[in-house]
Amino acid sequence: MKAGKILTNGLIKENPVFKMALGACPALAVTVSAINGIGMGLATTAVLIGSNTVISLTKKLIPSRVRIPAYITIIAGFVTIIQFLLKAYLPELDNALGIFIPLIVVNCVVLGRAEAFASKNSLRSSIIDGVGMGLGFTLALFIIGSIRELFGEGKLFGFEITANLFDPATLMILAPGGFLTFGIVIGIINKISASRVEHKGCSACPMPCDLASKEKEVKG
Amino acid sequence: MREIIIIVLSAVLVENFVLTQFLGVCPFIGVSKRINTALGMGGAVIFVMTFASAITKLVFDYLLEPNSLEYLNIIAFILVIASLVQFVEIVLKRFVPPLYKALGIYLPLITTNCAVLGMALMGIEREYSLGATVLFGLGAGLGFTLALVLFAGVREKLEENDIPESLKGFSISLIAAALVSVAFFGFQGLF
Amino acid sequence: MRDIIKAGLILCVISFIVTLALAFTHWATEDIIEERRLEKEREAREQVMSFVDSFEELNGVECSLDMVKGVYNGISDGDVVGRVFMVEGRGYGGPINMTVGIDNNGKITGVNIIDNQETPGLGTKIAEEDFLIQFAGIKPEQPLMAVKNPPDNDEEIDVASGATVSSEAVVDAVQAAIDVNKEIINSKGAL
Repeated sequence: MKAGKILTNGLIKENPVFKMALGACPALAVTVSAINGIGMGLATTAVLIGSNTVISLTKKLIPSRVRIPAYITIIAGFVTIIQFLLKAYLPELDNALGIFIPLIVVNCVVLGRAEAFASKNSLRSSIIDGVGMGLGFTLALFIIGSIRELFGEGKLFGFEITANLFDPATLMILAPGGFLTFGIVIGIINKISASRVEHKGCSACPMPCDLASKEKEVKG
Repeated sequence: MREIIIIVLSAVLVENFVLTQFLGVCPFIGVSKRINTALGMGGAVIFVMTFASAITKLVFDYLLEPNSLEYLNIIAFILVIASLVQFVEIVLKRFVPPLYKALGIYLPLITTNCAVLGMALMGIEREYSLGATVLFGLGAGLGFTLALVLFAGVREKLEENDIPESLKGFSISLIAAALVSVAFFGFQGLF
Repeated sequence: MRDIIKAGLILCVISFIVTLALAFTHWATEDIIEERRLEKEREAREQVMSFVDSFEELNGVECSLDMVKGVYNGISDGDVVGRVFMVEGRGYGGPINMTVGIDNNGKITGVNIIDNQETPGLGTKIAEEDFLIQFAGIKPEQPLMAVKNPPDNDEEIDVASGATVSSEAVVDAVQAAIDVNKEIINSKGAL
């Protein structure tokens, strides 16, 4: 695959949040401001690039039966490293993102790319995929964060924007505003792209989340 | 007694994991199409969360902290949760087949449910005692189930309504979740 | 069987390497993280008592209130002119770390929030100037009280709207500092 194609794939065509409906938790929780969205997005991107690299490099070494625990261990390692680096060099961001930094471990985007892409592709493609998916995730979080900050606080990147236009609705930076913004943005994307975003959420995870196949096993 | 009620009730209502803290949104949207599946998933989560809270707390207090290995907490907790889920699955399959039939398909989904890992990390951060941690885990699981079941009810109604084409599916689910979440904000001043 | 052993071994090797990597990062960042924390605390002390030359930690203070985590003497021209208290309030979303400055006459010189985990948009209002300014300059004779109407006297603190619990937590924490300050003065008087 061409590098450019892999990159835009993650950014737009298969945008993890807007198209695949993955990583909904952080997309909702930390997007109270544009800068938080970008910070969370970039932290996740760093983990994605790291885990994709290592998993692509070790794909021949890891036996398939233990691959999921192995991936989780590798990802958890990168997440902890990122957490330390944030605490040391960007403590404000670490404080704002709080528990959602360690929760990158269970972000379906990261594990999903490890399983669906990095374990099957070359090192170079896997790194580019990590960058593309990570930036796609960042873009989505930035968009949701900007909307919520603008309507919830009347600001963008901390600068007053709508001071004289309308009173900001605090609700938008509270939990309901998160669901509402995300829902409406998905609606708009459906309208533009003419194909509906379906929540594949859990089934897109490599955990044996595939309900259908599991169901057979249980019943059979 | 008062303490117990406050920990459980605030985990269930005031700081409901899904609707006010956005933990476990994935399964919340994914497994809430029918009330029955919502109950199954909820049961499995309550089960795992209660045990996971106790085990992660013990691991932290007796393995990590005495050896100043707190920095391994993320990795230790996720491995505890993953193994616990696997273990519960095997035990249920062998000894309680009816329960396995009911919960089995939901169990593997739980490892990547950020509500479970989130609960474990929050319990440590808040310096709860072992007992309080277990209650917190139980309350968080109950809250997750409550949100899931309530929302499944809303979604069953949604299906009978005429919704604009582009809002159908994931989009309208999120908007409906926003309204349920507004309702839960009413509990904020409870304590 | 050999496959299982091989798989298990590989898993162990991976865990070992990851643990080594974490131990290294932890070792490399530990000092910086600690330094940042101390720096932040120092700034927070200066903010609530800007008129002194230096601070000196007061060791061996027997605090009857465990919310107070540390006491610093504010020194100006060699004399102790006031004290800054490092207090951990119990907020809605977890601990609220703050500093409270009180001068020798019992007047509050300032209150500063170092960090908090309160709900963004609501609870976080306690860290804003509008709320904290109420404490500066008051000299409480009676215990402080959080009120929801415009305050009638110095001891009444108007809660930040939508942040009742968080505001009360701050008021309690400031009160704890006042109480400990009195204890210190009284014990000195006894000497």
